[in-house]
Amino acid sequence: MGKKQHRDTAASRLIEQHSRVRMNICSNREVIFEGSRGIVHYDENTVKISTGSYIVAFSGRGLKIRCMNEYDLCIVGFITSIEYIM
Amino acid sequence: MVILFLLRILGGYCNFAVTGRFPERFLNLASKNGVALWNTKGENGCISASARLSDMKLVISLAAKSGNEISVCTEHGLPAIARRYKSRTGLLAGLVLGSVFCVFMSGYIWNIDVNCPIRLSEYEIRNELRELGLFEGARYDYDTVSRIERNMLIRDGRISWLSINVDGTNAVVEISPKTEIDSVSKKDKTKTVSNLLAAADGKIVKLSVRSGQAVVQAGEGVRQGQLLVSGINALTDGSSELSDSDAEVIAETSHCMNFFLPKSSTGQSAGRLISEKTSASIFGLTVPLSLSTAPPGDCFYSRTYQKLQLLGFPLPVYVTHERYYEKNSSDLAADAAKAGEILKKRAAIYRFFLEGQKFTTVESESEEFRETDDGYTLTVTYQTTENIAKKSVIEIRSE
Repeated sequence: MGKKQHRDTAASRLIEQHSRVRMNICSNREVIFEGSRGIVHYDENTVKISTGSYIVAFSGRGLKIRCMNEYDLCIVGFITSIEYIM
Repeated sequence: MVILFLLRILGGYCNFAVTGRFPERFLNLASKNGVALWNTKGENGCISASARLSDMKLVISLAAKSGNEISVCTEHGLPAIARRYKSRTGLLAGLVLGSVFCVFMSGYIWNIDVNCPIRLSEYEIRNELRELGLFEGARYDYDTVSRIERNMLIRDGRISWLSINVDGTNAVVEISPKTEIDSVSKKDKTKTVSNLLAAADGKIVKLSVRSGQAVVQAGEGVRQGQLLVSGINALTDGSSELSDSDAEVIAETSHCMNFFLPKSSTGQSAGRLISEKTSASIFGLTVPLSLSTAPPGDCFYSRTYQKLQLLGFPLPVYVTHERYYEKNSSDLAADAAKAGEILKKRAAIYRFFLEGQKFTTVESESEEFRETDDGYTLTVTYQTTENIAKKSVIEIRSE
């Protein structure tokens, strides 16, 4: 019983953690990313963002972080692909 | 977005570039420490961004903490400008004085536009307004302007409505004159009973009656004062109805006018220029620009007023030119040819005014020029067609 409850709590924490990551994509020009744990890589062709359990990589041309705070950021530019790196 | 931009300008901001082995670490640290960064751009291992001036100390320490360094740093916004011109106190003093001057001067009226009809003289209106306290350089006060409006209406009987609209330092005076109302229309029209009489001798060509009963017909000859349209209409039941007659009675008439010119007369004309005076009015203060003064005695006088403008905006600067001319009295003697020419011009002017009247056309004219002992007379007979109907009010007394 105790083991099952522990498993449920871990699962709900994982879901909660994952649900905190939200992406609002406007065409391929703008992404509003919520739930960032830090920027792993940043240049004009690639932006990699850590979410804690995986990394989201945005590839494209002329990528810029328009504004950012601790958990959220806004990426603008010509996005060609979005990749999840586990 | 505009407000954000203005706030950034007011608070000041700094553009900088972070270089090092791992510049992304700086971004993470900055966001964790609540430093607002914008315009971040990553290029060749270097990240450029903008931050508030107040956050720059923290930005430098975070860059050092993350193992990076800040390579380029340029300051923008008001604090940066203030720091740049800190040593130039004269500039600041000039800015403050200029602002105070503008605020002080905006409390006065520097330009007055008078929109008055042709019947009223703008010069007279301006003089009256000046006497009441509205002139270039007068202090603007709402109550004073209202008082001037009221006093102007009381003072000048020719004005029926006046409004002074002040916009900034410009005052626009709108004037509406009184309209002359004849004695007939002053009365209650519903109670007016009138006949139409012939204003001149003539032969009726056309008759169109809108109200009243016609007592003459087209083709008839009428004499001056003869009844044309009656305001008392006889009804079929034997009773009568009173009405205000209204009709157009077009008739062929003849006008005879005598134009006279004496053989010798005394005329006055402007002679040579005696004196010229120029003065400038700057912010309501009149400054003479020439040493000459107004000459004593009787003379002709002309005055021109020039308002200076800058890029289409009126300036509170006026230049006034005053010219004084000698008054010459001379005996004017005219010979027959010259007199004939002058009298024909007068006759042409009379014809012009005659034709300007409603329903009046001059069909033909005949002239007779004769010389007498006193002078020359030109008799012109105009054959015209005109409306000869003249209203005559019937007074009804009830006892």
